Amino acid sequence: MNSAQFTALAPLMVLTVAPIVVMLLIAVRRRHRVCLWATLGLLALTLALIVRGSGKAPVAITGLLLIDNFALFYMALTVSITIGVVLLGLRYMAHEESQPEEYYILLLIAAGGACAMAASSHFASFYLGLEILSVAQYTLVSYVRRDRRGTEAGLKYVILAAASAAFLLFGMALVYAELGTMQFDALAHAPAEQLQNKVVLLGAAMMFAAIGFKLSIVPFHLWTADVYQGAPTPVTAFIATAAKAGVFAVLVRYFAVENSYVAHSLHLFVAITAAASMLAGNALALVQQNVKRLLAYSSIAHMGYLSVAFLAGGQMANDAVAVYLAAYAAATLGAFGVIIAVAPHIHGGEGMERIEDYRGFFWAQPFLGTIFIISLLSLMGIPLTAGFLGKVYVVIAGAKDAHWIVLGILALSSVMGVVYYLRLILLVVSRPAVERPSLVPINPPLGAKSVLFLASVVTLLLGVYPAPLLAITRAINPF
Amino acid sequence: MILVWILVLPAAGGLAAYFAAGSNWRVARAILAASMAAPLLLLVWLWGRHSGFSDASRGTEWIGQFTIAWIPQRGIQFALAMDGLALLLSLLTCLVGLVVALSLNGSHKLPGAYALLLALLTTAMLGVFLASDLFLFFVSYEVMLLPAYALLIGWGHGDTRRAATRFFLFTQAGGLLMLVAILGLHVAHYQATGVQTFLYRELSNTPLSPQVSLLFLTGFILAFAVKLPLVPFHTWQPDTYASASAETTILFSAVMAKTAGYGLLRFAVPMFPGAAETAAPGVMALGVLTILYASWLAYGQTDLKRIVAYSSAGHLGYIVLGAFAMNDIGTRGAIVQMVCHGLSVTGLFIAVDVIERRTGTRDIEQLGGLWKISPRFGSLALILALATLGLPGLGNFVGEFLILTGTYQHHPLGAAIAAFGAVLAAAYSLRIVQKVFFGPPKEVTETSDSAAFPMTICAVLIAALVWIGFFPQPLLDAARTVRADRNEALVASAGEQQ
Repeated sequence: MNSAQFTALAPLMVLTVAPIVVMLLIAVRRRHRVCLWATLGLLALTLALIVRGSGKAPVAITGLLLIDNFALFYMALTVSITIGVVLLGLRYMAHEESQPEEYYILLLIAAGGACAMAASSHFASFYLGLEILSVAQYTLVSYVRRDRRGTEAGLKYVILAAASAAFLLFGMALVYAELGTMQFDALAHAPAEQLQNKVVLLGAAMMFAAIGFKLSIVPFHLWTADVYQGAPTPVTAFIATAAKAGVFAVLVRYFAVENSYVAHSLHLFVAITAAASMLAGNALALVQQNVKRLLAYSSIAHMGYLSVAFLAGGQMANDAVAVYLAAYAAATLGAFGVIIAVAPHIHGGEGMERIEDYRGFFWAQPFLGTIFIISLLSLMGIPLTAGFLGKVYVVIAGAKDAHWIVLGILALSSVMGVVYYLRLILLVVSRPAVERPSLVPINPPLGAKSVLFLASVVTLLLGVYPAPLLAITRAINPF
Repeated sequence: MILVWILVLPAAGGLAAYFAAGSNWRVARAILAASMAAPLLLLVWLWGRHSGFSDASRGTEWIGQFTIAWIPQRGIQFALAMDGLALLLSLLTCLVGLVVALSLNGSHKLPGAYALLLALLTTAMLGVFLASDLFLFFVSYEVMLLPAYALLIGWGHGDTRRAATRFFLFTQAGGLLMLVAILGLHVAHYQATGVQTFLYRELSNTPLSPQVSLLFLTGFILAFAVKLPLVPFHTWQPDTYASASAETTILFSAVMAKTAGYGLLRFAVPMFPGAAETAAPGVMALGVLTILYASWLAYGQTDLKRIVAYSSAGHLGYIVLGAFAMNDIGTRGAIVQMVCHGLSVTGLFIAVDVIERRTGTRDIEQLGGLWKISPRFGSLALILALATLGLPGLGNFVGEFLILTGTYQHHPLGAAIAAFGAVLAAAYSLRIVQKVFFGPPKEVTETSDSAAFPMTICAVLIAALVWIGFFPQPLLDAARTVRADRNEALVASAGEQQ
């Protein structure tokens, strides 16, 4: 390994060593604060190494990993979100579990898996990254042992995720059997006659079913609401955001290639699943009474919007996905952050999960209420927030090849989205009729406060002046 | 740069009012009024400076322009431009804004926040009128929703949530379809020319197939049909107007509805002339339907605010006719109609507000005999009602007459049917006057004729309407710049298509 490869790989190596370091720290002395600081320090170090490694020429490592600006962007996104989740969740985890230290180990492992996935150029590394992420997530979902819903959600997730992993593996094997390669690149640029083979088609279909499961795209979305609801809220925030970034990195790099037969033949599949996700996600979110379930279904809809980006290839898809993911992550982190922040204080630690609990929330908690409203407006896609910019980019990508029907569905299903977000916002700002426990003033820890503040600032900044982010998306263009 | 000042001043004033006033409504009123008066004076000055242009230069001369890059990666610019049409509607906006600011009083809760929201709504509407970049136009058009919604929820009466939510949803649905059309046009232009831009003057030269062109036009028309509103997209409007506070209703009906008319005149018709020709019969049929149906409904209402709301929808139907008549006279008529309707509907809603304050009701069945108690107020209200029914000598007549003349040239049947709207308008206007001011007096709580301040405002509005009614030429001259603009776009894109 030469020094260029070493520099490129450094962030991943730190992230791999990090769980071991934290594990040893726990073995020496079990202290929440120590683990927290160690985790934050290691994640910050990773982020610093990512920034240091950016701007250099692409480095391929043993055909398994390809580290370039594009991969580093998604790694940076994942690591930043993980830092946010750690800070947001620290009081929540300390409150829920008497031994919250292993939670940090699992989060670090999951982040490592997601980052490895973002850099993968080979079926094997992709599969390994995905599985490292998933296995850590099974445990994270059911981390709070006394919570039966969490255990149930964890079990559900294990079974379905294991099935989807089997699909992925079988699909990869079929593709390999026919094409004789496990390089994504070879699949992306395979000529049409090779791909018309039924075995390859079956293999590709199985792979995309598994990926669709991971992204919770309709019709592979059935686990989403239960897992989002049952998991500890910080973990939900992680699953909704960071866990998806790595998958999108691979999808953009290898399946949004212009003039690629495989990308082209996927368009119908993408159009149908995107339309189904937008419609079903928004329609089901309409009838939810639980905030976490509502956000779960709305995230299905958002994955639908995001899929529309793949109907265009090349630069447009790259821009659209990067912008939308950044916008979605900031808003989602903000919304979940508020739910996390109130949880340890309300209803004896049960938190506020019913929509009705949020009546008058703004007047009791002006800071948290403002963050919540900004996040919801961004998820709604109102101009001057990041969500609007994301939607604009997605629509531009869809308009490139004149997919008017999909775009019409996008527009009208967004209106359904407006209904439930608006209902929530209305509750938040309406005057409460009676004194309720949610009206106790809550002061989240400084770290959580700054993450929430930052998420809102990013949301508004991307909406008002997105030029710097767009300059980055140009710089990471993998095509 | 002067355009930026015009755009920013109301919002800045609103912020100042919010922080300075707190709960003192007098301070809020003073600051808000000043921040509306300042751009109003700037606009009057601009108009005066540019009214002397020779006919030859009118078509190309912009009164003002301002451009800086906003999102360079997609060619999005913060581009403002003003021609006659934009000038007139900005003038209307600031005038109505000033009226609204002056009518703030102690009965509103949280006057600072109220002033801020009114000011933000005004700035967003000015943004709609001044933007020459379609992205900026869309952002302003959508951002209008937020303060409007907050005003409805926070300061409305009665069942505001249902009305406000319906308003929000309808507008969002139309708006998102328009967004798809705008972005589609942007991409089509990029694919054809390799230039990324949202400037509408460049986008109107995009070569498009007739089908795509019609599709985009439909997106625009749906958005504007909701906002105007046209039957059958009007169901949000009466409830919203009825439940909103007086000031909000005035801003909605006098200015916000005009953003849709403006959009039709500025974007929808000139950018897709071929498709507009195809769609004209259908859209005009909707316009005629709106004129007749809304006027018919206005006759059946008993709530004064609902009557004015329906009558407002009826009069805005004419604007669609004027825009899709696709000739100079129709366009100019539509512009005059927008300005005059803005003035007269402001007066009418003020009158309704005065009646409601004095008697505690807006139900015409419970009102009666007000003329005996307050003849001066009664006569002002009568003139406003006459303006609404299109009496010659008042501005509204000029607008409707020009529109019907323009429409008659291509669609004589449509013009003939639409003319019946005037009969219905006469019926409901006179019915209001009859029921409210004449007949036996009913339970009236207050008996003085001393609403001096609203009456002054009404008198000023009436003076403006009379002036336009007798001397419409300055207004028509100002509206003229638009026509040249529009034809230029028409010719350019028609040439491109051939």
